[in-house]
Amino acid sequence: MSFIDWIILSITLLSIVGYGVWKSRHTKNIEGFLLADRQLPWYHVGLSVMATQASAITFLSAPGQGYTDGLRFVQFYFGLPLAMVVLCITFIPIFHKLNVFTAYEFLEKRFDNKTRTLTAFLFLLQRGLSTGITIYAPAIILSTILNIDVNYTIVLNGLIVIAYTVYGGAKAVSYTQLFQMSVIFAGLFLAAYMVVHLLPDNVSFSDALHIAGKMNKLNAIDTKFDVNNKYNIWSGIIGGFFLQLSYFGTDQSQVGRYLTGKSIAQSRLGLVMNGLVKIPMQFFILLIGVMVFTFYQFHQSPIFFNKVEVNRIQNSEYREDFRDLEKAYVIAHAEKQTEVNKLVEAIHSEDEQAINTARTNVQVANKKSSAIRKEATALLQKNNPKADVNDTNYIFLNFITTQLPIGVVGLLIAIIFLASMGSMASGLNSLASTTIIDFYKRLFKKEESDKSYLSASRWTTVIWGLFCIMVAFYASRVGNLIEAVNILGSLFYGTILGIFLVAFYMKRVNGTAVFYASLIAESFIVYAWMTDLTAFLWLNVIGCLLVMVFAFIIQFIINKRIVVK
Amino acid sequence: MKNEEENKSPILGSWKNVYALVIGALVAVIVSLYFFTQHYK
Repeated sequence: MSFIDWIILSITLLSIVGYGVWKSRHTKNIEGFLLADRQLPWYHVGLSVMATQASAITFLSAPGQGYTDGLRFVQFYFGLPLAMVVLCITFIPIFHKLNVFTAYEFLEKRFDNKTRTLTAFLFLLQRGLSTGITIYAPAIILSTILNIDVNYTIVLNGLIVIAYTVYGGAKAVSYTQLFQMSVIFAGLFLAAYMVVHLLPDNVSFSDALHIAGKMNKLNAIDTKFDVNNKYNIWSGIIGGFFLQLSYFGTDQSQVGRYLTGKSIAQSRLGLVMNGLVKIPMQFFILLIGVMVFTFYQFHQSPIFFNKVEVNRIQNSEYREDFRDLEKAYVIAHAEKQTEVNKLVEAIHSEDEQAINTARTNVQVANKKSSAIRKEATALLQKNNPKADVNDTNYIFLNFITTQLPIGVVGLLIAIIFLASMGSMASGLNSLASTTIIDFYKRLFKKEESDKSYLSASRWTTVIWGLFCIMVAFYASRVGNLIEAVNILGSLFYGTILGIFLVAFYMKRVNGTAVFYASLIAESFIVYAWMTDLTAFLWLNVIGCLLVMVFAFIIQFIINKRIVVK
Repeated sequence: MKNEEENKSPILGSWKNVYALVIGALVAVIVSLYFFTQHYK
């Protein structure tokens, strides 16, 4: 990265974080620290909700996913608008009227303390691990740019975010996120413009879409129902609905964001904004990845996108073998480019037969390149069995740092950092809220002063931050990060959502029934995941339905026993 | 009373209309993406 890029990166980060910290300088009580005094307008709520979900992973993994897998991941978000409507109708009014700090407080009012504690515990487990993974994502960037071990950059990133969240709390989180999202939107448009601009002169944006389409990258909708297919319209609408409802309705990192709204209407409008903007935004990010794929049909791509692993093998006994594979890859690319140019000519001439022939030839050429890449990956693993052989998260990063002009690189790297900081800060703030409100205040120190709770919240933020750093050390083993976070969420969200839906809609079920039902459901979900029973999105549906069915059955048995006695 | 006033939808007259807009937009997006996929297949 050039000196100018470093300047732009530093100024963007310092000014936005500085603004958030300055706006939160009057935070003097627990309500201000955890919920920004419940005084924020709808656009703050909406952008904060979006910034919390759009972590650095979104900007690293999603374009990589677009590159390797096309647009089909966009279907994952189809359930989100529906979930927003249900949240606006059911969850928001109840949380606001009860004046709760965390979603789990409501469960004690509806059921009992053990159900509240169990749900809060499942949340802490899931969110603590997920936030650890989100710390890892931007650490990769620094590691690649500075060419140093990723563990050092994990510690550096983690400590910066801990310091900033401990000082400002929810207010700093929200004010920072407002500007973060503005810069993120601007940067995304710039990235999209640049990738199209870098295509050859005879290839228009429309041609690029046709080329990507002919190579099955514009597969935004798959209508075929298959429970083992991760992304199709049905898993997106049904499974995605349950996942998003659970995430936004029961995950404190999100509940804490819309509880900062100054009224029910302001919180609702914030979620409506999210429901309208999220799918187009995600489509756009994936499309950038697809355009990067098209770009590399005309330009030589690296055989492996993770420079750290490439450097490692280039200094090993396998360097000659690797060099041979690189040479073969260059030759395969030249052959492929000839076929791609024929495809462009066929598209221009609108000759269907020529298009189909060229498409087949390009696909054959692509398979040849993929086979060489596979050999290179196997060699990387042979050299170092612990090597990170999934380079999806490095594709967009590599493109930014090697293809974009000075200045733009700094801005785009800043975006990835900002996104990461937003979601990490929300995660740490929610972990602190739940620990203090649902455990510390409820179980240990019931009648302390506000100042004491504020101090405990800050210390808890530090402890959770250190825990997340520890988790981040192991995150490199999990492959595609955005999928890893969603899989982790799917392991717990279904059960947690089931508990809340029983609370809202099954008025005759009591705490004991739902408590045991959730233990049974969670055990089954973990078993289903370990045995690979179904695609992960369906775990949300199964977990939720199991809690509701078992709660009903157990309550029925309890009622029978009472009648018999 | 003040709360009820505060919680009215500031746009489109009622919350029902706002939710209809969200669902309508979702349907429009899915249909558009379907034709997009078919067009570039």
